[in-house]
Amino acid sequence: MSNKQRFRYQDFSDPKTQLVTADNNQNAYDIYCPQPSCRCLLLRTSFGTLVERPKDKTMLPPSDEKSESNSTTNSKENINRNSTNGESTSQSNVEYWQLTDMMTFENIGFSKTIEETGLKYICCADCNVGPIGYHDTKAQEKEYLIAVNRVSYDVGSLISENIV
Amino acid sequence: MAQSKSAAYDYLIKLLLIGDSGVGKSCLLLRFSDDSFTPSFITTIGIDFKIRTIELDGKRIKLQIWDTAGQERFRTITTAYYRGAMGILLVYDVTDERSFNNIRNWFSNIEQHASEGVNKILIGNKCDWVEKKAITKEQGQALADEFKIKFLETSAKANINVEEAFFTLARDIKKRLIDTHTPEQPKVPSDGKINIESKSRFTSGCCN
Repeated sequence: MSNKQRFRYQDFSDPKTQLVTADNNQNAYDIYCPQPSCRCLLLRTSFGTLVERPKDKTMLPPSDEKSESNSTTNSKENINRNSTNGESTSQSNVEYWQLTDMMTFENIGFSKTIEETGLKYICCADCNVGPIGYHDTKAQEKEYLIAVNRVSYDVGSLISENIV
Repeated sequence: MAQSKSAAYDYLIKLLLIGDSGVGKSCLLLRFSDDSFTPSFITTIGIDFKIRTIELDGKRIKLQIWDTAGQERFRTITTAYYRGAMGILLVYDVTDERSFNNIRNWFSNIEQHASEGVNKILIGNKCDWVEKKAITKEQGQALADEFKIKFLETSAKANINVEEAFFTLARDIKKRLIDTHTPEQPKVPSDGKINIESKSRFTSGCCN
């Protein structure tokens, strides 16, 4: 795996089709830390399911990743920036990869629980960058959510077929 | 991608980091890159635990590693924190004699609260800081010998022996809990799955 194969959500022209498996809406690629300098594998292919969650409920604070991390694909031509940026469909929803068992993560970090909200923030296991997602300890159904636009995707050799 | 479908795990091991505050326990859970990037958001809140997947003898093992998250300031850790722990990294700072002397207190705390037979390893962290070194490698080894546990000097900053420390401990635990068991035993220990909610209740009850 080289960093050159890693792309961000906004690098895909049609992420909702390109990033998910056709039959069951799961992540089509291995998911990595958003930091180009970090090689941490967070979640393997097809262990997360694409879901939407209300924006007002989650309101992830800004991630402290470096801004130039979005530039990993500058050398690649024909990248169509997607204006939706992962916070699309209706303005009130955000897209996440959902896991129901935290042990499904390959490598991951959890913050302490924020007392007021009951949220645990999720970060990269190797470099602590985040938040890249959250877990609501007060939620009825146990789930762990990774924001689709806060991680990178290793598209490997499939790149030419899948990215416009 | 061929193996991605088998990315479930064979075993789950719960580990704890124990030692005085400031010895660099949290740093043992970081992997430094060339980048000068220093994240702040999560670090400010504090890390509760991390999950790492390693491979040992062809088996995929999930390590769930708990940081004491500030509780060590009280110089004691309660039974709830130790529950289900299979291995403990006892960490001191080689430039801080006090943290080394306190290892004895931490050791008796473990004897008191942790389950019997829990695997332990003594870690002398910050070993890259040669000019400030207050505790020799021999002193560390002597203490470990007295406790009949393994010993490693590490540097999270220079990435010396950190991986080795977790692998050594995980290998010992696998040997104790898994390799000696009959095949009928459940692969994942029943107490190994940590209930995040119950832990949260514990955390808010004890630290605030």
